[in-house]
Amino acid sequence: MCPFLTVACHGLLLGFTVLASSNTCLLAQETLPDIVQRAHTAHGGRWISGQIVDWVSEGKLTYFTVAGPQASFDVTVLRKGKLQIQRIIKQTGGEVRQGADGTRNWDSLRGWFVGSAHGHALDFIESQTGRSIQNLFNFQSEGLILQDLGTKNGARVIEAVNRSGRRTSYFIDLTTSLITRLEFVTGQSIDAFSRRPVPSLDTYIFSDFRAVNGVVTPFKIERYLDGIKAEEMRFTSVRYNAPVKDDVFKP
Amino acid sequence: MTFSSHRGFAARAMRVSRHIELSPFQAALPCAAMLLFFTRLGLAQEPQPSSLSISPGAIHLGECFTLTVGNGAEMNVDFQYTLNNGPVQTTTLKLDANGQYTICTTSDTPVGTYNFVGIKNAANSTWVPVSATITISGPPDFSPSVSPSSGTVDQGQSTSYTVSVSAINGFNSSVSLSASGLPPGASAAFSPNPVSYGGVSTLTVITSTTASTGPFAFTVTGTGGGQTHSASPTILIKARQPTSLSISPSQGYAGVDCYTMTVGNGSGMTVVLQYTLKGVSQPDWSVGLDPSGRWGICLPHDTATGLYAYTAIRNQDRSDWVTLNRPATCEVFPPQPTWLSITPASVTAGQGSYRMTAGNGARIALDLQYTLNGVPADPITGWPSLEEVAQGSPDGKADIGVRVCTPPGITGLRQRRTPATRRGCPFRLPSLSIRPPRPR
Repeated sequence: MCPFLTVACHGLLLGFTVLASSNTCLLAQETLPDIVQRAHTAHGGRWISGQIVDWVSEGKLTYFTVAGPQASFDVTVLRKGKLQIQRIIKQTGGEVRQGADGTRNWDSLRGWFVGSAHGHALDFIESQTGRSIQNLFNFQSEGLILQDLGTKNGARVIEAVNRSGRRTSYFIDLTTSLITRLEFVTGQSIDAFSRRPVPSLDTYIFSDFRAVNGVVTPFKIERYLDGIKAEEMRFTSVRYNAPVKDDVFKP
Repeated sequence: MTFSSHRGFAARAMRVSRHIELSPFQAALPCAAMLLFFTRLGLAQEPQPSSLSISPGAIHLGECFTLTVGNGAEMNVDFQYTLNNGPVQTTTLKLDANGQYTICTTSDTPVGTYNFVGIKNAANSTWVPVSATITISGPPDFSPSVSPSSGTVDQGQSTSYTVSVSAINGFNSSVSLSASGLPPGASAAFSPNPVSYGGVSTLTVITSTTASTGPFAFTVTGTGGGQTHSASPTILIKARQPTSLSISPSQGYAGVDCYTMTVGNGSGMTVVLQYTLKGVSQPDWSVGLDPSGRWGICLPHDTATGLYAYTAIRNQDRSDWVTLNRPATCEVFPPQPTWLSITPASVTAGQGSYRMTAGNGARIALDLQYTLNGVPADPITGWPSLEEVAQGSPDGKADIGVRVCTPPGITGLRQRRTPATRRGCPFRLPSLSIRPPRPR
């Protein structure tokens, strides 16, 4: 038996013993698409069918330093379709906008703007678009190739590879089947002493799941850059199919 | 030794005290033969010796002893004796006018206890029972021994042996000790030296940090009482091990700070290290240390951040690890920008853009404090879009457009820091002049 099937069966037995109504492992033949489908179901099952057109999340964004939380601002995250994203951070001196409209992306602040987003701003935009959880749920239409990275820290790790070879890892909790972590390599750093290469990671950890219109939604998103906490978004409200107009997606 | 049955011995090993080389046995033979002849014919019965004494009762080889026979003056006397309780042997000696015969031993004389049990006039057939003993022992000597026979020591350390000097045959001289054959970088010291007979001395082999490594046999030589003897212990000198590890400073910023690793007992050593990064074990890593046991590195911009914890260390030439009682740790924080520039210095609102460049700022997010027309403005937090100035460059840049609504004035950047770091680093700050938009 292939190792994957064994792991899949065991993992499911841990989380879904109720489903195993006979002595046989009913889900022994669960494939990677099956696992993603199970996660989709756990999240409410409304993403593949296109029932979710847009959504608006509002709350607080806290920046962190290595010493802990630094500053908090109101934040609004707007999403529409697969490609439009706008994060508006209401800093005291003016708004910071990080977003994309499907043809361009930006990172602007206080009337200044950057022609296109780079670095951590671009990585965030990608985490909400091309690497988003919703993208995984639609892996077939997105042309993603799924790979099994086994079990890690109580989660089944599925790696999705897009047509250009870009890889994103999704951690599916063994107990709840919810996606609790999204992670991807943004570059390469160097071990301080041995000089060996070490991958640089952008990690998003999802928690405080709540059902909104039947969609199980994380109300807390923590962002770690190379293992160091950089941001935390805590939402107070999430609205699906708000609706959101196209003209909000601009610098 | 035999006295009679081995006439060669008598001639070789015994010399009469009168310095006549002719064996007393040989001198006595013709007369004894005649007496035997007449006795067997029943024609005569000669006087018998009455007693035997030996003085001294114990000697070393090379010394002499004297047989004194009562009523034995000028007599050819047969002696019966045993050596170490072996078979009875017989010898015939021609005594002097005092009834004495002096025998001097040589190095060839068999050592042991000679028991004389009977004597008689060589012309007679009847033995007179006697009981006299002479013990002949070897010359005084000693025997050195070393314990343990093999020792192990790390470079730079010392190890001890016990040298015992056993006295033999009444040896009573002191013995001077010396060692030879030790490899370069190793030396020996004895305490005490010389050592008294029957005593012990502690041999300490001291090695330098650069002593040759490997197994070596060496020689311990003792000289005393005219005798010289040696023993051959071995020593295994192993490559020295590091004793400690420290890293300074304990925290630093990628692209800014430098670390120094100091290894106790690590002079010139290549060490192998076990460590974790962010709690995850990393493959072992080795590095050559300078003569002070140090190694330094300035963290490049792309250094992996997180906590490095070193847990064990060993000399590359050893396979056994030295576990550190407390892990040596250092934490690398994300890059801290080192300078900031803005070009051009003046831009018209709504037209053109300017480039902000931050030294050591590639792919980091900036916090910025600035003034507008001299008045402190609210700081900017988490400006994340600095890309590399060029491929592989540690410096980051952002091309920033100035919109029509941008307030005109002089913007002076006051301070900056990266969100992930905890400190701000003031430096000489550039200014940007925003001109009002041109009327259309």
